[in-house]
Amino acid sequence: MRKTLIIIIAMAAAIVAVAIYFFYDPSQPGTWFPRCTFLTLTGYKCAGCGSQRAIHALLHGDVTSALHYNAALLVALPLVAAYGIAEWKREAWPRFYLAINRPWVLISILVGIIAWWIGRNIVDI
Amino acid sequence: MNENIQYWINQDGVQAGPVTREQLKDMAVTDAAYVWRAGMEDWCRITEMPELAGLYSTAPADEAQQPQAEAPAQAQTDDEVVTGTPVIPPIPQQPAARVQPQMQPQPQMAAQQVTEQPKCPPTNLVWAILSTILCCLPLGVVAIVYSTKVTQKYQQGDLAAAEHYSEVSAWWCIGSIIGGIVLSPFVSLIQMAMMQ
Repeated sequence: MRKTLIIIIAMAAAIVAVAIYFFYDPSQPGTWFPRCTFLTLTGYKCAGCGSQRAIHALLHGDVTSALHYNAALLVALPLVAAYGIAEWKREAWPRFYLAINRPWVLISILVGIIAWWIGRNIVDI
Repeated sequence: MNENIQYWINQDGVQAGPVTREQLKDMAVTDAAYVWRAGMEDWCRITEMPELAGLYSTAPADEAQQPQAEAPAQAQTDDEVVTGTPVIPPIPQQPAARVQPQMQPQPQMAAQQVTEQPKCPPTNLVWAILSTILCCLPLGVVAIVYSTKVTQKYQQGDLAAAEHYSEVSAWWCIGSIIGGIVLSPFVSLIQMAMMQ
């Protein structure tokens, strides 16, 4: 019951967000889109910097720009989809769930995100 | 050795569990028993679990054979045919071979037999990744760290710790999402102030 409610709220929020990011371009100067908190406070990019612009570009089919804004987002989206499906279909496909939740898989994701976070500030991507 | 690990015991076709190592010591478990704990693919013989060494009795050969020989026959009476040869005293390998199909069921079968056999608690990785990529805060990374601990502990058989870390990672996700939403208006204000 509580799970269903969370899923409904999350889906509604996702639909609203998709509509906003489709019609408004966060890369335009003077928009009211919040800049990254981490970047504003520390001056360093976070792992998610550029996600808003990347989502806008993706919704308009511009994969090249999306890659340029935040390449990690393009990797993260299929991952999130895979984990979401694995959780949803856990009863039907228990082996798939176990396979992608192995400790070494999760540790790889963790290392990947930390490497991306640090690396993009060094080479400025 | 972690004392929180819970084991399921199957001896002579009778299943018991969950039990801890301490409780296992008080049970009259012989080396003919099968064991399963969270993180194991399938049941295995108690003798193949180094962590349980010394917690079962090693029955003398002739005594051990008798209950073993009777157990499968008894269990199979409601099945269609008794496939074994109960008249001939079984050689030591034989009971194990006959018991195995019964003792090592498919995963679904195992779940039916022991309804309380626990699943790995959620790793919350969907929310952990999303909150890292979208909330601009390092809190999501902490959530992923705890997500990795969930499956690690589950594979070690420590369910209590796995559930604990699952909850901790969920709270870090929630903290990251709320923090991201609450902080962004303030950040916008700082931005505007800096522009002027």
